[in-house]
Amino acid sequence: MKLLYLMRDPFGSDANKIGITSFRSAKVRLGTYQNSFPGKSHLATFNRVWYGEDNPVKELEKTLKNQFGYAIQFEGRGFTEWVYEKEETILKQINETIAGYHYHVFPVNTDGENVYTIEELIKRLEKVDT
Amino acid sequence: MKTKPYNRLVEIDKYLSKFTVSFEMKDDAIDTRTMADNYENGIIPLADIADAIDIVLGPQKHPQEKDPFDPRTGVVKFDYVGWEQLFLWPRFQRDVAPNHLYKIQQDFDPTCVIVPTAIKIDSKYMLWDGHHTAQAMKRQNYTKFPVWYIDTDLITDDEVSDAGFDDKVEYGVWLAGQNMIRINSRNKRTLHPYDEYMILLETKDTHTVHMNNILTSAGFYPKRNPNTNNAFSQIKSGQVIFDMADDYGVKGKYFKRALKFHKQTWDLAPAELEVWRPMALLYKEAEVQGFALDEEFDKELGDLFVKKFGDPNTVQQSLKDEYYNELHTNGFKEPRDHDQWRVYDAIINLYNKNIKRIQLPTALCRW
Repeated sequence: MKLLYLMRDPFGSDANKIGITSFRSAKVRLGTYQNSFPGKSHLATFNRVWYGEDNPVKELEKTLKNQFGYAIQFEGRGFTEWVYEKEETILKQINETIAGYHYHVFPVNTDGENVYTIEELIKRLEKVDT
Repeated sequence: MKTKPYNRLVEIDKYLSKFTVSFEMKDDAIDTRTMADNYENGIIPLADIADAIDIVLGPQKHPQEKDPFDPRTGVVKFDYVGWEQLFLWPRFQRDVAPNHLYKIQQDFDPTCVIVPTAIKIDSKYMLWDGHHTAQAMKRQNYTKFPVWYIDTDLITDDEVSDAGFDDKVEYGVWLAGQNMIRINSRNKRTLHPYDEYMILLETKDTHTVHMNNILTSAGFYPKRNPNTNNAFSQIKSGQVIFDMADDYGVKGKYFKRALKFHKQTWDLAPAELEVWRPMALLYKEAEVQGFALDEEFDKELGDLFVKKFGDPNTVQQSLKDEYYNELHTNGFKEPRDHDQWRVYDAIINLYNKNIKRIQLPTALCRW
C-alpha cells in the first residue's frame, strides 16, 4: 500500500510538492523532510494525503506529473516534485483525475500528517485495507 | 569561479516560454506537430528547430566550431550520368535483391527518387548506396541517372596518406564502405509508427483518415506517448485491430466499439492496449460465434472493472495476474502465448463469475 501526498511550501508560496511513499517508508520520508527544518520552526507535514494499492498510486502520480508538465520546476534532484500551482488547482486536478481514470486511490480525512502522527494514520489505514 | 552546470530542463523551460503553445522536447522526439501550432500555416523555420535541438543536446554535444563550408567547393559533386557509366563494386555493396526491387517497382513514383550515391574512380561511378533505386529507374526506362558522387580526382595525396593509405583507389574503396555502413546500418533511423501514421493522416491517406475518424469519434487522439488524457499511442496494434473486418468486409467495427467501451468506462484515461484490444477480439469472436453482446454488456462489464480494479492500467495488470495465478496454481492444458488472449480469457472468466447475464464465447483457459 502507498500514500500519495501533497506538501505545501513551508514559506507560503504557491508551490506544492506531490510525492508518493509506501506505508512502510512514510515516517522515514517525513523524517528526511524534517531534517531540513528545526522542529520548533516548522513541522514537515503531508498536508493532504490519499492512499491505495501500489499500482494505482504509482499510476496516479505518473499521470499527475505528466499533466502538470512544465509547471514542475526542472532543476534536477530535489526540485522535480514541486509544482508551481495553487493548492486548489492541484486538488481539483487530482480529484478530476481520480474520477476520470477511476483510480482506486482514496482521500484521507486529515488536517496534516507529520512524524508524530503518521504511524497512527498508517495503522488506521491498514485496518481499513484488511 | 565555479560555473553553474548546464541544466537542460531549465533551458528547455526558458526556450518554451517564448511560445504560446508548449510542446514536448525530448531526446527521441521534439514534438514538431505541436510546435507548428505556434506558426502561421504551421510551417516552422529550420533555424528554430536547430535552436531546439541545441538545447536538448546541450553544449557538451555541440560539434567543435568549424569554418563555414560551402559543399560546392568540396569533393562531393552531383551529375546526371548514363547507364553505361554506372558500376557496382561488390567490395562495398550488398547483394542485389530482385524481390526488393520488385517491391520498389510496385510503389515507384519518379517524384520520390532519392539520389543514389557513388564514388568516382577512373571515370567509373560505383554506387555505395541506392543500387536498387538505380535499377528501378532503369526498369522505368530512365535515360539519365542522378548521382551524388565523391570525385576521387579531387582528393589530395595528403588526405589519402593521413587516412593511412598509400593508394587512392584503396582509400576510395574504404571510404565508400564506411559510408555504406554509416547510411544503411549505423545511422539508420526507422520511422516511428506515430510519425508514419501522422504523415499518412495529414496527407489524406484514405485508410488512415478512416481509422482516425474512428479514433476521434470515440474521443481519443493519436499521440507518440500515452502520457496525456485520452491519448492513443498504440498505433501499430490499432492498425491491426482496425483492419479486422466483419463478414461484409467492413473494417473498424470492433476497433470502434472497443474504444467506445474504453471511453465510456474511463472518461479521461489514455487508451490501455490490453484493455481495448482483448475487448475488440471479444466483440469479433462473439459475432463470429453468434452471441449478441448488447449495450448493457458494455455497461455492466465496465462497471465491474471499475468497481473491482479501478483504472484501466490496473485492470489489465490484475487480469493478467489472475491468469498467471491460475496458471501457476492449477495449470492450463493450452496456455495462451500472448497477453491479448490472456486478458481475453480473464475477461470472460471474470464476467461469468460475477455477472453471467448473457452468454459469451468460451475461454480457452477457464477457471
